[in-house]
Amino acid sequence: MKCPAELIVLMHEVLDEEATNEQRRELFDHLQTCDDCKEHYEELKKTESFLLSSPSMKAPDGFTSKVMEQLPQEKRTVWMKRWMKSHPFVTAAVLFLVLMAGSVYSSWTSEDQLSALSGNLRFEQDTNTVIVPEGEVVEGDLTVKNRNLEIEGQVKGDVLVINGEQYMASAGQVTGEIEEVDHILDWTWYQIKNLLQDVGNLFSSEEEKK
Amino acid sequence: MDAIVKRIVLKVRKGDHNAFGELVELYKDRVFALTYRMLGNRQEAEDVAQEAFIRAYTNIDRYQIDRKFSTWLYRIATNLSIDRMRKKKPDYYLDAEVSGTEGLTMYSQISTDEPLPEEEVVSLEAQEGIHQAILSLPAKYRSAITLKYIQELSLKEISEILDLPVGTVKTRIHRGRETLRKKLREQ
Repeated sequence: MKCPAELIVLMHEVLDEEATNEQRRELFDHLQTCDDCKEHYEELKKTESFLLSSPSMKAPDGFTSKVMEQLPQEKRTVWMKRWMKSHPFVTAAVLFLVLMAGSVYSSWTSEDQLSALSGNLRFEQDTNTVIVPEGEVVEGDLTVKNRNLEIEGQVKGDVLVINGEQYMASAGQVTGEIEEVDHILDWTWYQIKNLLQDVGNLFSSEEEKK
Repeated sequence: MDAIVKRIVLKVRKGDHNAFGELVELYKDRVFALTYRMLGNRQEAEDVAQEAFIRAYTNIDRYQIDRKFSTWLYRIATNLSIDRMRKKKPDYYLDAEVSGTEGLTMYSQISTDEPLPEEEVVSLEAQEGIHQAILSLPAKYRSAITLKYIQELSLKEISEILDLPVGTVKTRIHRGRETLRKKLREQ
């Protein structure tokens, strides 16, 4: 008995689960009466079960790392972001140092200055020296930057000489501390000391409020 | 699963290398199974599977995020496998003719109801038989059959991967199945 080719198509439709119930019935009715078709269909079923039973495959060991080694380099920003996320404290410390260094350096190189709250000071251009004249009284702190300082009179407060020298005449008098800062390291140390002192003041003033 | 994959893909797009490693871990076995069935040789299958992942990485911006990632990835892997098959066609047929099951028919091995003494050996041979049978298929049937039975994908997904109408995919699966049936009968 020669069966129409449509029956083979029907078998595949059934295997793909694309056939309607009616088509399925049509096929199975026919298989009961036709041994050739029945054999054909069973062979197809077996083929399919062979295919489905093939073992699941595992990629070889080290597959992922081999792929990763071959990838083009990632963008630098991402690498930095991830590094920062995994090292938050180091990041904070580095950030602090950078900002600190920046501010210290800029205040170090900023223009020459002289600050005193009161009193008449003299300035000698040729020796680059600021003079507190004899008999003169400076009320408050005195800061001289990038200049020398000569004290013949009196300073009622601290004296700070940055990047310069300070001479004290025998008659000179300073009631507070005298400090000379000559190097950027000293300057940094001075800034940090001030900062800590400010922080300390902040706390003590808060305690006072209580 | 899809949501997780999407999140990883977005990280990769921002340039995160390590996120891509997660994608490789998720899909490496399935991609390797696909290339192995297509190429029939572990070394080549590994090469092509790695290449597929590298292509996916470099083209990640072209992946449409609303589609299934696996469909896109399998498509890359399938196309690379087909390219590789074309390049080494002669070897291929030689390969297919080598068969470890000479003198044994698949049917007698598997359809007997009584337990076989060397069951493991036999099932290895059976696996080898089906593997060789798949390898002897022409590329267009082989890709359709592999995607359907090894990856167990739907006809619609296969049609997206192969970029063919569903009707064509069906025809290829039917012909592939028919060819395999004959091969297994001969064995």
